[in-house]
Parts: sequence; C-alpha cells; structure tokens
Amino acid sequence: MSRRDDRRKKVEEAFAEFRVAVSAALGAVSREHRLLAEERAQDMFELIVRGEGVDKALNDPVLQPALQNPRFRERLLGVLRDREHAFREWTDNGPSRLARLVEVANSPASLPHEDWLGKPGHHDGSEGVPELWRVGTGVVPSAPEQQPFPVAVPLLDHSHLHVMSTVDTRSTADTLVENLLLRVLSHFQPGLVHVHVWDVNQLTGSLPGLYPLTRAGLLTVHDPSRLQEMLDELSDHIRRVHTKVLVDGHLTLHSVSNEGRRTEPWHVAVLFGNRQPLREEHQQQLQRVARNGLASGVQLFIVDIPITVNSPVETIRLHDNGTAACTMTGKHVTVTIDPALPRAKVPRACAAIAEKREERRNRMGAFADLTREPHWTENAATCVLAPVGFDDGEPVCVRLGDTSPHALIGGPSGSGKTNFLYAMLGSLAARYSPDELELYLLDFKEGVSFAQFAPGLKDKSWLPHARLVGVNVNTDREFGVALLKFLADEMRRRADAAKRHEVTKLEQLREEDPEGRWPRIVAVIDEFQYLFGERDQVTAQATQLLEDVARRGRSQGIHLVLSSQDVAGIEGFWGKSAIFEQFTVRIALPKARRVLAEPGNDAAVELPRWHAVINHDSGVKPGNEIARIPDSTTKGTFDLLQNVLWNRDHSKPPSLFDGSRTPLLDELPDFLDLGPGDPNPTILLGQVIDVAGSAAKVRLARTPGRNIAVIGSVVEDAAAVLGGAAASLGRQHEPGEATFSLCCLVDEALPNARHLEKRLVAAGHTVNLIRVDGVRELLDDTARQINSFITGTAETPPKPHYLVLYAVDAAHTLLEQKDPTTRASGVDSLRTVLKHGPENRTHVLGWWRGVQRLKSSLSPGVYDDIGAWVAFDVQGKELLSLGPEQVMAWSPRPQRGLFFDRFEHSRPQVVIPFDTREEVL
Amino acid sequence: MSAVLRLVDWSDESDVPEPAGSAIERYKEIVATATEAHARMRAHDAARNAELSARIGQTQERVAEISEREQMVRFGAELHWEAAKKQLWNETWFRMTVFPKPDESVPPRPQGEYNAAMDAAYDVLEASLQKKPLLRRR
Repeated sequence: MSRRDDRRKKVEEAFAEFRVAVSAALGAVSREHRLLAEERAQDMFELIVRGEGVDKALNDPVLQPALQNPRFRERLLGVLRDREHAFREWTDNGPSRLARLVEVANSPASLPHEDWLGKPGHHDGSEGVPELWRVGTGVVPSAPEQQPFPVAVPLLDHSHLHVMSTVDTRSTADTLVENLLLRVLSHFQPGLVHVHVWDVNQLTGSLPGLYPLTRAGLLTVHDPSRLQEMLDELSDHIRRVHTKVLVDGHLTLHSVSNEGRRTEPWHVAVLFGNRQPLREEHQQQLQRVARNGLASGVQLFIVDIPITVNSPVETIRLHDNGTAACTMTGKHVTVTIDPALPRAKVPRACAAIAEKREERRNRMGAFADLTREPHWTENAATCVLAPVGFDDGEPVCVRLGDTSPHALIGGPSGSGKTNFLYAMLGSLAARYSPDELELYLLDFKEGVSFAQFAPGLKDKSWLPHARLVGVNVNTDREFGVALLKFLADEMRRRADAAKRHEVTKLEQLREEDPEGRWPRIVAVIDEFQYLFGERDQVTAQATQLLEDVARRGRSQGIHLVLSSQDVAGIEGFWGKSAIFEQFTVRIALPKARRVLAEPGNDAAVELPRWHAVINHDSGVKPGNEIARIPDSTTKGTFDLLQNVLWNRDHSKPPSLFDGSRTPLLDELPDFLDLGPGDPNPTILLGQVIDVAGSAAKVRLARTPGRNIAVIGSVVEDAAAVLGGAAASLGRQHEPGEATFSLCCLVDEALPNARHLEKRLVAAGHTVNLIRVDGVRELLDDTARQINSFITGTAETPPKPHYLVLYAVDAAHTLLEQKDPTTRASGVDSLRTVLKHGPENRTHVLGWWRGVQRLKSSLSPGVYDDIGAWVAFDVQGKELLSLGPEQVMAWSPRPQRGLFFDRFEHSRPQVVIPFDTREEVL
Repeated sequence: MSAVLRLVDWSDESDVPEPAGSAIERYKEIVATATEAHARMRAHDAARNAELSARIGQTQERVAEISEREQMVRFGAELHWEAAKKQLWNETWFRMTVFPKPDESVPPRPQGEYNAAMDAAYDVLEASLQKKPLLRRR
C-alpha cells in the first residue's frame, strides 16, 4: 500500500472517529437536557391537574391537548389512582347505602311517582313515619365514578324546609314543593295532612295542581295581604296541641303517637316570598311558629324568604345552571331536582285524595266506631283517654289525667246528656280493662239512666268496671255524700300507700308496686245539683267532701265527672272557686249555660242536636272542639258492648243502690250474719244510706235505756222497724232462750204482728200474741217480775224478754186507769218496765204514733229510757227533746226514717226501713 | 324511634344492614364519607403539589445549567468542525459530511469525558492530516 493510501485511510478513520465523538458529546448533553425538560413538563402538568382538581381538569377544554398527550399519561394515571383511593369507601358503599336508606320506606316517600300518584294513601302513623322524603338525584362530581343516588330531606316532625331560587329557577322551586307535597299527601290517610299556602305575589296560581284539595278542607289558600291570619291560625293550633295533647311528659306529637295512631294531623305551611324579608312582626311570629311548630306537627316550607330559623331546617339552593345544592348533601354533591309530575295527573291525584277524605268525613261515626276491638288494650298509668264523638270523620277525645282531672258536663234536659255519658262510658270501658279503670255511677234524676250498668231482671249482665251503681237517688242526697266519703277514704288509702312506697302520684305508685291493683277511678254523678239542693248539713258535708276529692283526687287517680241540667243554679258550686278550678274539662251540650267560659265562649248556643263542645281548657274558646256524638243508647249500641265485656269478665258484680227499692231483710248480709252467742244482741232497724249498704244497728246491752221507740203514724213503717228488730233478735237466741210478747194494740197492725209471730215461732221461740185486752196484764206482770229482780226476790235469773208493742198510745186510756188496790196504773207499769227492764234483760220495742204520745208514756221530762228511736212522719223540731239539734232539719220522707241512738251517735242518720215481707223459710 | 328504618337487605352488593337510629343522621353520615373523600383527595393533591412545586423550583436551575452546557458543547463542537472542515478542504479527495446529529443512545457518562474524547478525536484527525517529508532531515 502506498503511503498516500495509508494517509487517506488514517484521515478517514480519524474523521469518522471525530464524527462519532462529536455526535456522542452532543447526544449526551442533549439527552440529559431532554429528560430534565420532560420531567419538568410532567411535573407542571401534574401540578396543574391537581391544582385544579382532576375532575375539573378533565373537563377543562384548555387542558384537553395535554390530557391526550401520551407523555403525560403516567402522571395522569397516578392522579386518577389517588382519587380512586380517596373515594374507595364512598364508591363501594356510599350511593347504595343512601339508596337503601331512602327507599326502605317503600312508599310515596321515595318511590317513583308511577307507583303511587293517583292513589290516596292509608298510613296513619302507627307504623312509624318516614324520615326521609325524596327530592331528586345527587352525584359527587369529584368522585371517580358518577354514581347517582337519591337525595332526600327530613320533613314533618323533624325539620322545616327552606328553598332559595333565582328568578330563572323559580319554576323548579314550585316543582320541588309540589313533588314533596304530593309525596306526603299520598303517603298518609287523607285528612292527616293539611296544607296552607301563602304567596306574597298572588292569591291563586301557586301550586294550582293541589286545588282540588280545597273542597275537602285539606288545602287553605291564604290571601297575600293576610299573612297574619295564617300565622295566627298556626299559632293557635300549636297552642291547642300543647294544652290538650302534649301533657304528662310528652314533648312532641311524635312521642305521643308512638303508642298508637297519630292523633293530630300535620299542618304544612308553604310560604312563597320574593327574596325580600317579611315585616318585622311577621318575621318574628314566623320564627316563633318555626321554633314551636315541629313538636306540634306544624312544618314550614319557606320559599325565597330570607329568614334565620332556630330549629331544624334543611335548605335547598337552586342554581341557574339547573343544578341545586342541599344542606343534606353538602357542597360537594350536585343535586338534580326530580322533574315535575305529569301535569294532568296531579289534580287528578288531589281530587282522589279529596274524595277519600270526604268519604271519611261523611261516614257519620257510630258508637261501634268508638268501641272497636281489640278491647282492654290501653294502659291507665298516666291518664284515661277515649274518643266520645267525631269531627269530620276524625275522633274527638275526652281525657282525664293529672292535668285535666275532673269534668263538668252541662246541658238542659233533652239535650243528649245521657247519650253523651253512655258514649263516654262505653268508649272508656272498651279501651280499659276493669283493672285499669273502675266506675262509680250515681244518678240523682228520677227515671233510670244508670240502671243499665247493673244486673237487672231482663238483662242479667252488668258493666264489669262498675263497682257501684246508684239509681233513683232523688231524695237520698245522703247517698251522694256517702259516695263522696267513700272516694275520700279511697283517696286517703292511696295516699298512704304512695307514702309507704315513697312516691306521690298514682303513676309512680303503679311503677313502684306493679303487683298491686291501682285502677283509675272515675265517679260520675248525674244531676249532681240535687246534692246541693238544700241549705242543710247534707249540702255542707257534700261541699266539703267534694272540695277534698276535687283538689286531692287528681294525683291519686280519682276523677269526678259531674253532669247537670242546670249548672248555673248551683250556688254552692260557684262560690267555691277551689272546686270549680279543678274542673278543667268542660263539656257543653246544646244550649248549656255557664259550662264554658262566658261571655266569650258561646259555642254551646248554636250547637246542633247530637253535638257537644269538648273543651279541656277550662272552657276558654281556643280549647273548643266540636264533636258529633253517636247514638249510644238505642238497642244494639251500649247494651251490646256491655254484653261483650260482661262475657269477658263477670267475676264481680257492682253494689247497687236503688232508691226506689226497699232492702230485703232476709237478703241483707248483716242480717244473715246474725247468730246466737253474743250476750248483748244487736238489732237491725233499717238500712243506712251508705256505699256498703250496711244496717242500722243498736246493741241491746243490759244497761238502762236499751229500749227502742218507733215514732210515726203509718203502720207499714213501724211494722217494718219492729219486725226487723224482732226478727234480728230471733236469730240471736236459741229456741227457748227468749220470750217474745207481741202486743198488737190496733187492728191494722194485726197482719204484721201475725207475720212476725209466725217467723219467730218457726225459729222455735216462745211467742205470746196479745191484744188490747191483755196488755195491762202483761205490763203489770212484767213490771212485777222486774221488781222482783231488783229487790232480789226472784227465784230465777232474768231471761231475755222482748216486748214488741204496736201502737202503745192506742192503749193509753186503758193503761191510765189505776188499779184500785195498788193505786198503780198501767202507765206506771210501763214506765217501770222501761226504766228497769233493760238491765234485767227485758227490752221494749215500741211504736208510738206521735212524739207527744211517746212523751206521755214516759216520766215527765225524763226521756232517756228510750235509748234509740226511729222517727218517720214527724216534724224535726218535735224531736228536739229527744235528740241533738240536727234533728231540726228532718221532715217526713216517704220510705225513710230518722234514726238516732243516744249512746252511739252525735247526729241522727237517715235509714231505709226493711221489707220483711218475703220469708226465706 | 321511627319504625320505618327496618334492617332490610336490599342489594346483594353489601350484606351489612344499617344500624338502628335516625335515618336522617345516617343519611348525613354516609354523605359525609363523600365529603371526607373529597377533602382527603384535595389534601393529598395539595401535599403532592407542594412536592412538585419544590421540585420544579429545583429543576429550574438545572435546566438553565444544562442549556448552557449544551450550548457550550455545541459551540465547541462547531469550532472543531469548522477547523476540521478547513483542514480537509485541501484534501481534494475527501468528501465532507454534514454536521453530525446528536446521538442520544450513548451511555451516560460525565459530559467532560465526552468533551475530552471529542477534543482527542480532533487531535487525532489533525495529526493524521500532517504531511510528513519524504526524507527525514537529520
């Protein structure tokens, strides 16, 4: 090879190397540069994307080229991965759980309208009330997956709703409100939701689809200029609910109705504003309504009125771009309000609801509706509450409890008082078992109104709750006093039990002593004004007892229901405000006066037949509820119910006091309990007017004065007393132990004397029936015998000897004749017998036909040989020498006598003489 | 409270029933998970962005540096190239090529080495172009 070639080769090689070296040097730095630049670009890309938020960035048109750029893909994926990680929990569970939560109600609260629009609802609150009501769909725009979920708001008992729209989105606000209202209206039974609408701009035109509801009274549209009226209506309603229903620890209607169906309807008030605040006074009242409304079932939908509300409220803000934000979901959720319901279907649905409601209203509401099964399910721990009538198809209740303890019912005769009482008693008896409620029923009227409740001849059933029924009590006002005394004693017994358990109220006592039996007691006295009819002892006693029971009975579960034709006439009642105040429940029948707080409350004046005003507020007007009372007295109503209840429990019949019936001696427990053995026998003179129906007793001890006198002109009365007394004695001696001398001194008494003789002979006793001709001898002999006992010259100890003298005074002329030898008259003998007889076991049971005549038989001025007497048709003041001053009040009463035992009594008692006619031999 | 909130299994996705309690509270709690997720995401973004900002700040300087270096290398390379061109101009037989493109596939080594190699290669080229005399003078 030539050198030239060598050189060329070398040059070429060197050049090639050089080229490579240059290339490499350039490439190395170029690459480094490029890599760094790329990293920077990616960093900046990521910075922008994260800075904006990946969700916004993905939609940003300016970033589109960068987002498409494959060089940035890695970084973009990283950002997306981070987002997915952050939203993992939400993506997996969030939307599905929310959907489940809202849709669990499976009702118009959440279902699509196809499922419910057009069909009236049937829920009455007893199965719970949906808490969440659907308004639309939500998505979380920043989440990796756009999963829509239902957006719902709380309503009714839980929260108010505030909607804020713009001029362009007002129609969406209307849609939203309409949708929610239709959901609520279609969920519940028609009548449980009332809607009020007020629009600052227009009277009609807001929510036109709902207008068919107006005819059923379910929608009230308020004039734009009369916002005050609507606010007043709502405030009154809240007040009424608080006074009547929210008592005894219930703070909200929600808690009351957990025990049963919803008792008060909801009122939804929709207010449409114009983004201006209301007048100051309206603003304040609205805030008050908002504050107190939820507990009373008043809920507000406030649209475009700026207002701060200090009670639970959710806000929905509508944006111009068609989306919305809701406080339930927060600012990261975009809400789309559900579309409007089909225009034609809304009024149709409302019409259907209105129709259903009308149907219910017009259903008159019968007695059977008040007393439906199941029976005896309610608990009387805090009160007794029962519907008594209907108002527009809805039941109206009477409530007796700690805060409304006693009731006053007024209404002239024929106004339906008896019917009302039957409705109330039937309703109570159906709901509460005899262990929860006891009834004491007393009617002063003539004619039998409460006789239904006791066993009778034709209908052997009785009302299981009735413990005492008093009928035909007309003149026996003592019985009213006896009942009040019984209640006062029961009240004391309960108070003592409460003290032992260290509590104060019945409710607490029941808790502390669950084994014990502590029913609420309701005592009904019809025509109670008779009790206060006279100005006498009876009235004084009755007034005092009534005051006692009225004031203190409330915490011991004792409730009085007093009804009267003429409340105005009860002087004693009105004077005593202490009694009057306790009667917070006032029930007025048509034309009743003074039962409601006059002059403001005149609702009773215009009341139609079959209706009553029920007021738990001491008669002030806002407390009025007007109810139609169903027929509760005709055959097939109360009697049917009583039979059903009686069949369920007929273990304890009530005590019956029937003023028209004379008590049968032979059926009286006190009589049947008598038997031999007591050295001092007890005689029964008649029946005392008390709750137990016990007998008037006198003990014939061996002490002076133990003689009985019956004073009166009617033989039946006297014979009844003497017969009863003698018969009692007959039971307390073995045959042969005692001698009975029956002196019949007037013919008209002969049948009675004979009857008594028969009875005593049948019992094995020695009986001498003596007429006028033998009485002198009897008395003389007896006196002689007694003298022998006194002087100690008797051979045998005294044996019981009872002289039953019918019409002593008839033989007086005879007796006054003096014996020529002894110079003693029969009257002397009589006086000896009276004076010394009792200590020697000789007792006189005598009948004198007048006070003067009795006095003639006794030593002048000395009347204490007659220890006990029963007086019939005499004037009280004639008895003054024989008894205390209370006898003054006595005047003759048919079938009643005045009884006084100077050794036992401080004041005389009224007794009912026995019927000794029937024999149980 | 509300009897409506019964424990019902709805979807087959999750078998866990909602605990009893107010539905309203539950709803808000569940929505809160989305809010919290959003917040977490944004917080993470902010943290990451803080890192990125710092890094971008740092790389700012390096980029300037590398740019300059690149320029210098290019400048040097061009100088060498021009000189080589001049010298090879006289070699009529030689075919000049275009200025070489950067070769990024070369292994990463400190730039100085490549620069030195380039200088050395130029020297070798230059040496190869020297005409040696026919006879060596003593």
